[in-house]
Amino acid sequence: MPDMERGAEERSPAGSPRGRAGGGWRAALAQLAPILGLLALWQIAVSAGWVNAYLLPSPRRVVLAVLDAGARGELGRHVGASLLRVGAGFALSVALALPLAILTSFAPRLTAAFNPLLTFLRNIPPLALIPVLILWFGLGEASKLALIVLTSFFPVFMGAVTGLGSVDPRLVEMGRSLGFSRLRILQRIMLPESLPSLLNGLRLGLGFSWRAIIGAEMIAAASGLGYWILDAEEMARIDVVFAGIFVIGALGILLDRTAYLVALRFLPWIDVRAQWRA
Amino acid sequence: MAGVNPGRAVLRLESASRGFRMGSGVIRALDGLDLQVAAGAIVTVVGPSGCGKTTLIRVAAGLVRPDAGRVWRQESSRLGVVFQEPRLLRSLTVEGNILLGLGPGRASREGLDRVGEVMALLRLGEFRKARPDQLSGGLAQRVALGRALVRDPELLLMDEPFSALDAPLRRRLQDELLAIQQLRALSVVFVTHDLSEAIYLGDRVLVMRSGRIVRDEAVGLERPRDPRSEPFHRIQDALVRSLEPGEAGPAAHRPQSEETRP
Repeated sequence: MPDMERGAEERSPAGSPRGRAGGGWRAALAQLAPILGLLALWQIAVSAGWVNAYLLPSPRRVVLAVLDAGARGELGRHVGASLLRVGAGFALSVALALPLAILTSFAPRLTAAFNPLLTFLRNIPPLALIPVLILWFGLGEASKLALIVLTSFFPVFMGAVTGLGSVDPRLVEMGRSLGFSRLRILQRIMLPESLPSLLNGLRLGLGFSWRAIIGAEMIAAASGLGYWILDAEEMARIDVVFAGIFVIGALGILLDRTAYLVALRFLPWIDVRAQWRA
Repeated sequence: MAGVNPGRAVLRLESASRGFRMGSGVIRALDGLDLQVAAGAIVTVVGPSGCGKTTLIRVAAGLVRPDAGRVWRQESSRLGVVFQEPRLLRSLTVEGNILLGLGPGRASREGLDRVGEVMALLRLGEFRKARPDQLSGGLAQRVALGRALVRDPELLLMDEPFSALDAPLRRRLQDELLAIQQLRALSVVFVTHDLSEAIYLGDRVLVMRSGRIVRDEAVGLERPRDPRSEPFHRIQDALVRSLEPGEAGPAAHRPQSEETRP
């Protein structure tokens, strides 16, 4: 292999080979340590009576609340409902954002004309639209989905637009030299080339839709983690409120991790590790 | 020059002009350029940077339209273009990138066979599953050549394809190109800024300046050519003079960057 000047190993980001081999559990432990430390401190603070246990329940009580809800099947029902909503809303977001982004790449002048309007919409907090959404979509699932879509649409859309806009024009010219139509150039060259940026948008969008769940389930919901928390608040069960918060956070990590592993598996040519480090 | 068929042209440019807006003026990248490439010939084009060489390739390839004049390519003639950079798709393997040359549709059985042939020809077999970011510059450019060759082109347009490579590697790829050209009776237009490379490869060397051909020199040397030989030097000396500003070519011709187009 006389021409293999740069091996694949040499280019992989510094430190990551170590993270993969052998030392993986050590890295995980290092990341776990601050969390465990905080939990310990928290438990001590509550046990020693430094803080009011009503305002801040002990970690033990929170864990018990999670376990209790799990045992009664309540937790599974709420998690399932929320995941389903987020999944459907996010899928809808992607289904809207991708074609629109592609459309803008074909009509840059039209896009420029719409830019101020888009910026206006992008800067409205979706929560501010809840009254409008209820009015338009009612109290059922539709308004909840709409809120998730509104929250996650822009990251996905912006990621796709940025990605498509930054495709090297020389690659497009290469495609033309091979006799590719515009559609084929889009499909074979522009979409794959814009994937790193799109992936970033998808990841952000997924995180945003998950975070929108509380807002969505504030709208007359009877299930879901958001509902669970609000219900616990009304029952003055602060431990359950915290349990809900922690389940949402933990599932957020899980979703992000899943997205990472899927990207790592199916997009071997993208430096997924570098993207997730950011 | 075995295999050159002067009677049959594969590419003809007739007073082709092409300008580009640059600030407030217009650069005439091609300025009434005439060119005819015979079947089976290697025509090298040499000239200083900014003389319009790349535009010549792009116009000949049909990637940009001339503002005036005509471009004629033999109908149904298959075309391969190799750019200065490899322009490989990072999402595809070496094999996938070469496969791209066959066109947008699904690859047929014989298409896949041809990919295999081309990879063997360019000795890319062991890199079949490698990705572009794992390749050196020389390998990447060979993949780009493979992507053009898999089309089984009659005309190969090459825009300084080896200029980013070091000298020994460049010579090796030049020899590979010559061997393939002989094997397939290819017609080649090869643009370079390296005079020695132009003489080493070309049946004809065209000197280009300010969007025009200012000299057309037939190179009658036997192959393989020795760049250190006396006859090689003689041609080189003669051509160097026409590359120098203010020498040879139409003396009245000046860059027309100031001129604005109607």
